[in-house]
Amino acid sequence: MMEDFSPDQTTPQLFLKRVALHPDRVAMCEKHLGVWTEVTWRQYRQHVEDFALGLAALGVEKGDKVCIHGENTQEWLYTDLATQSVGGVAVGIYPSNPAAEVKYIAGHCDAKVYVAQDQEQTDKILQVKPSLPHLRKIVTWDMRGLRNYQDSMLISFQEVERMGRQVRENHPRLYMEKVDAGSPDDEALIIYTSGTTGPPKGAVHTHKSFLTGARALTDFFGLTEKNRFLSYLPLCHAAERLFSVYMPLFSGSVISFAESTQTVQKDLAEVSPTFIVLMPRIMEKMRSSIQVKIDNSTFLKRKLYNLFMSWGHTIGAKKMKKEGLPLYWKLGELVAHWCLFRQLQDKFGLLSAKRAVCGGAAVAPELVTYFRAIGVPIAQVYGQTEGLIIFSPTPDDVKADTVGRRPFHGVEWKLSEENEILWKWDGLFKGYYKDEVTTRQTVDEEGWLHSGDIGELDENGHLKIVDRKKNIIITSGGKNITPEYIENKFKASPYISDAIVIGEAKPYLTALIQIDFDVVSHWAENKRIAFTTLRDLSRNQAVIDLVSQVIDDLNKELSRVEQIKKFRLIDIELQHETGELTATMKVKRKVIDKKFGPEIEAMYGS
Amino acid sequence: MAFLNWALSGYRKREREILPDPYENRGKVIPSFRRGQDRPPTEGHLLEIDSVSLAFGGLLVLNSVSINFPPGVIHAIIGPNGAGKTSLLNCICQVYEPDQGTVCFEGVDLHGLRPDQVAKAGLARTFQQIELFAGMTVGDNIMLGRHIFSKGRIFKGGLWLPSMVREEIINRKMAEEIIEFLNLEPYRDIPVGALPYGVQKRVDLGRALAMNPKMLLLDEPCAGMNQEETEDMARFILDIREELNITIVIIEHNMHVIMDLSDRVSVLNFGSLIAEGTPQEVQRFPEVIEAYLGSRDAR
Repeated sequence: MMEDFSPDQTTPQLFLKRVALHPDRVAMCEKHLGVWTEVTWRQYRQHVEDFALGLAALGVEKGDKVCIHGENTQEWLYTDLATQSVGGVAVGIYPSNPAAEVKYIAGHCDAKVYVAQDQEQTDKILQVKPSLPHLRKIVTWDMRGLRNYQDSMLISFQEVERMGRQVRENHPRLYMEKVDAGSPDDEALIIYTSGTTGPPKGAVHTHKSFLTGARALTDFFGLTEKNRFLSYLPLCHAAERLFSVYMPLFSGSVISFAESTQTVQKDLAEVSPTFIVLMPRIMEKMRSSIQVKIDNSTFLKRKLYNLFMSWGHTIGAKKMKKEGLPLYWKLGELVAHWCLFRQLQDKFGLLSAKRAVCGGAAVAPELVTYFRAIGVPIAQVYGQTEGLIIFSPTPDDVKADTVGRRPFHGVEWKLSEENEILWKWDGLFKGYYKDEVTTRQTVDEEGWLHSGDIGELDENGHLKIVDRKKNIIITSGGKNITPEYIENKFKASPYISDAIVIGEAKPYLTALIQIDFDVVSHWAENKRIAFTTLRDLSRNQAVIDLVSQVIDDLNKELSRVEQIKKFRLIDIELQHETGELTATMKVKRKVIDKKFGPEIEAMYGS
Repeated sequence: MAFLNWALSGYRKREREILPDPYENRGKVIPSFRRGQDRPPTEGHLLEIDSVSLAFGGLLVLNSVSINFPPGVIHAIIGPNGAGKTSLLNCICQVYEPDQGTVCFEGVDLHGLRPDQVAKAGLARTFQQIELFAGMTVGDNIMLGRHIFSKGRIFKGGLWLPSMVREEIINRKMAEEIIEFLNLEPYRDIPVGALPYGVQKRVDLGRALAMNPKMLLLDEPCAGMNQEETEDMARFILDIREELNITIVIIEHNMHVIMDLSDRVSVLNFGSLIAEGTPQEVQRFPEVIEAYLGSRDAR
């Protein structure tokens, strides 16, 4: 049986095997008019087949690129698999990408068909359409508001499916022929990396490389049909694509789509997934929402919360070190679980989570320990779009700030002399699209992927991700500083949501700090400080004093060269749309340096 | 417990029978609150206001105002503060009884009808100051708009008879469709009082839509909103006209909104109609300029 599910085939071939195995099981759930509705594997296949044949009718052939632009919904998955079924290459675009980036990506990959979610995304592509000579059709799956659009390129998703059904009536075997014609080494998808420096780069993956990554993850986490998973991160990101589209093909687990990006916490609580991916930002939000409520509650509740949390931290630490728990701690765990942790888990929607992972921007260890303290078995994963996910600690051997001791099965890895993490396996990408030079810089002749991440082994052989190589700051005193380590320390404070450490070729380190509006505004209300907006609050002297106090405390934990001597509060919300963040919420340092130039200068002025 | 399961399974079964396959309706506007769409365009005017006058004591609020509203347009009523715009809306809805003149909706004189009967006839409105039930959730507030169609009374409802179950399912479905239409999903179960002002305005609009109107009267839908909220609201108003074919009468002070949205504009000043035409035409009327900017002599 398991040979059928080897990574050595194309994704659509694997998909058809999965459908044949249990056509009437639920494949995915989506909230429709406030009610969770189910889609079986049989229906899933039907839609993929219809849309694939429709795409073929529109002229999509082997190697043609199809862009997908929208939030996580069924249609996203149908388009992804349908494109690959006819030999096309699926290119995901972040829903938050503005028109200029749409133009860059659709132009760079020579998109032939553009599948957009709704009016908002369709408007973006229509705006830049004249500069895209290869574009043939724009398909929209939610036609609301487009009734009066008179563009001959525009067609609805349902219409394409209807065309597909017509094709099938004439050629009932066509879909199978198309799928059988694929080979595992064909290009399957291009993932545009968000690009903290320069324009996005398109990493090309073949069927085989991506399936290898998905298979390794499925095996490592032991996922089966019984698992539930909530899909809420952008599907065009390699990790979410692996988790929501590819891993279910191996495991058969059920995917539920978040209703919208604002309802994720509620959807989590409703779906109660058994396997979950958390982003550091979501984790911070969860924790600060509890903190605000606890601060508001009665004296007794506050004391009990603090007491149980301290127990949780002690127990969590003991468990991570694989120390046995004495009987009285076991009893304490039981009491704390039923009195507090169970309720917290339930509120977060983590009650059924057997495994939870976090990744993305490096996670503050304090967050990991917090969630482990309340009994959520969370651990970091490490990987990269170019080489997929390769590291995660085994459940009985977790250390909060590391990504584990051994990579997944089949991965060869090493640290270079500069402590850069290198690895090779079948899951490596094929190369950057239309960019031979960068490809050669990234993968050397021996096939090692140069990740650009600096790693460090601790005394027990746990790998710790230090920072991106190019982020390392060298001060004018010649000291090498890893800003992410310091930034994470700051972000662990509930009052601070973002910190950017600065100091390249400067005598000392400074920082731009963004306050957590929810927590600080609550704090200000308690202190009877009047304010209107984030800008107003960030300029308040009392708030500056508060942050200054936090920084002074944290500076004590840092060596002298790592200490932050001065700081400024950022008084605007950092956003992807305005260019300060990448689509994956990483800070673009160059943009920040430019935007806050005067503030930075002022911190180094005499 | 077993009984409860049995009862619930019956409920779910019925729900499946009544509700269509969700995928079928993807990307389409669902017919159940699209009353106007299938109706052939009516000849003549949907709403006719004929020389309506209203006075509070010695103060003449409306002075023989006549406006005709053809179906399918967005018709704006503008004017300086105190010009009588809201009073005109109140006369249409029969909250105020005009001293003189008639208000005809689809050829029927509305005179003497109770506000709920006016609503049933197909006229729904939103309010300048939000008039929602602050302690109730967004979903419940919208459901309230369905109340005029409820056939159940206390016994039928209390006994949860099959006809009531059916009605409840249909009403809930419609409320959910409106929630989807106005992108209110994140707030569905939150008490209205806890929501930002812009969202409350949207809920107010949603409740009016729930009445399945042929004509919507919007009293300053964008007042007090920031730029982004205003743009969203303008988009919704256009969608309501395009997708649901509901005729819209809008009172608004934000001139950008008026100029971008409306097909026709009527200008009131001191209770009198001083100009009527397309937005571009109206802008050129000397009386309008004077009413808005003051006369040359005063300056």
